[in-house]
Amino acid sequence: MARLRYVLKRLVYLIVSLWGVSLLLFLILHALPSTPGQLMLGEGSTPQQVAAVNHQLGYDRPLLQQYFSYCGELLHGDLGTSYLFKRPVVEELAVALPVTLKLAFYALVLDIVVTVPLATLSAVRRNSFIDHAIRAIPLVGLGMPPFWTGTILSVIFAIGLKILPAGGAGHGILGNLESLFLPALTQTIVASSILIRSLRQSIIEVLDSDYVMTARAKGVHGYRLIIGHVLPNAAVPTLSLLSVLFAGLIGGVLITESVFALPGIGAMVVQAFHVYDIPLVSGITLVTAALILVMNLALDVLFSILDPRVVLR
Amino acid sequence: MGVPAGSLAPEPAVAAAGSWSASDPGPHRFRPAPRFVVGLGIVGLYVVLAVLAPALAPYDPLSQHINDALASPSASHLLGTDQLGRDVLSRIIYGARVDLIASVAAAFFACVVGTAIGLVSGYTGGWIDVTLTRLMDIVQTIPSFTLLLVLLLVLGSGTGSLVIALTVTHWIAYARLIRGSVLVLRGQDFISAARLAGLRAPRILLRHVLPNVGMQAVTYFASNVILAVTAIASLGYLGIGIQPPTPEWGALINDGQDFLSTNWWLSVAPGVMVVVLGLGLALVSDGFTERRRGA
Repeated sequence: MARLRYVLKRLVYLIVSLWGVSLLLFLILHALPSTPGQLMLGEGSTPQQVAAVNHQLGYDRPLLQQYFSYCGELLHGDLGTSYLFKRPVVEELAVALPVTLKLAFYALVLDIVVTVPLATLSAVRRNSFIDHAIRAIPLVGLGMPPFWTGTILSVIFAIGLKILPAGGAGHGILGNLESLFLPALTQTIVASSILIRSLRQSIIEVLDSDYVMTARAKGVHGYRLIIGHVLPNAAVPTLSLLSVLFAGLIGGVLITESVFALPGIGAMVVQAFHVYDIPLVSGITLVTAALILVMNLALDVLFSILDPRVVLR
Repeated sequence: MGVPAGSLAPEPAVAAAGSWSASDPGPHRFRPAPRFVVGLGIVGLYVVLAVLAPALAPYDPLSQHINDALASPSASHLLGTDQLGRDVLSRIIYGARVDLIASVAAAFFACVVGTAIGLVSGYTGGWIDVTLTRLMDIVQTIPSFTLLLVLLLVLGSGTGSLVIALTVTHWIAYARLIRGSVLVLRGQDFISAARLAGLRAPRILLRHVLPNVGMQAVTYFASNVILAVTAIASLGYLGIGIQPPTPEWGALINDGQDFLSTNWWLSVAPGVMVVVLGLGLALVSDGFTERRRGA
């Protein structure tokens, strides 16, 4: 019951936040002095041409009127019509979003697969050579821009060794898994840098706690101790970090798509940017924000189920 | 840019191996760790490159020699030439000017704006605090990449627009850090004493609060420059922000991408510049964090 009330409360908060994001986007795109006519036509245009474009796109109406029609459309699930594709933004997103979601999910799974063993090894063999080597990863990983890491990975694995495709999303589940491996790995190199640091620290704290000493005294050791007793507790702080990280993950995924020529919303937003397709850019921005809000809510609920000590507020 | 601004913030929970305090002979002796010195050296090298670019670069970064296009590395062109016959080494050296100055400027403005907002938000409380915190929540919900695109769409391209857009996306990390510390400080006796003595809020904030929380912002600054450099290079790679023919590292990586199978160094070399700068800044940032913990 308490959980249901918590989820409802968070849903209301989610909707309010989304409204806030839409208002912010509206203000940036509509209330600033530069109009789409000026942006699209450039410096060589006459004021008449600019005015004509602005009129056609409805930017010459009073600001309040623009805002009400924007809200009305949003409430009907209408994100406007893309100037570039001449189709509703929602339809374009329906095609591109699954690619981005697949990549984001793949990257998230890969993050966990990479982080958990490395952090555990690092924590268990504290201050050994291996620990120092693993802890050096963030120093390099954090400064590696995803587009460059992606380029390097495709030079090695796609052009040099020729064992993985350099672009495209592939077909079918196996095709996806193969084609999206390098893009997901690109993202993981940055994300795991942060996660390893956090998880290692919490494992060390848990290893020093009394209940682990009790478990050891009872003769539990090795994998059974780590997997059965240490990791479930140590994972909680890192899981909460995951929700912060997800925003970064989505941002990174969007850039990575352009490197690997993936037909997701990241490549689409760049394409839209270059031709001043305002509805498409703002639609994609709104959808990514919604994605992050939903993901955060899901993680928080999961978090409360995993850890009974979490107080629902 | 693949990293949320907040996650690079100094994490007090992370234990420091061999922190300075352990090896310090006196309580207040500043003896920097070797890693910090190495980091400072790396960053210093980039500053020298940026400042002395005209003297250090063997050629004009913009002069084209089409007959010499895509030459392999040789004695006359240490890193070869690009598809327009421009000297790659010179372009990379001038890139230090473009990328370093823009990212430091962006981090500086974000630091000033974020610190000011954090001070006001944490100290005044009430509806001002609630409004500012909500604003931070909302801005942080939008991935910085798409927010940058929306801002640049309206501001237009160019270094100035890029710095403004980065400031708008990066101030929040500072504001949150500072606000958190101010909330703790606000209840302390010396602040109450200052208020009882009749000091006005601006004076209390600048003379009594800021000196106590300012180091937080300074510590985060190096991490912020890493974020700004990767953001600028990522956007440059996508042809957004700083425009050609300006030698920007991300744009250089993109230029070289068509020739990866033959002239791979065209893309790899400018990328190494970004990564090594990131490493240097990370070492400096770690050094500051440990220094604060040790003190």
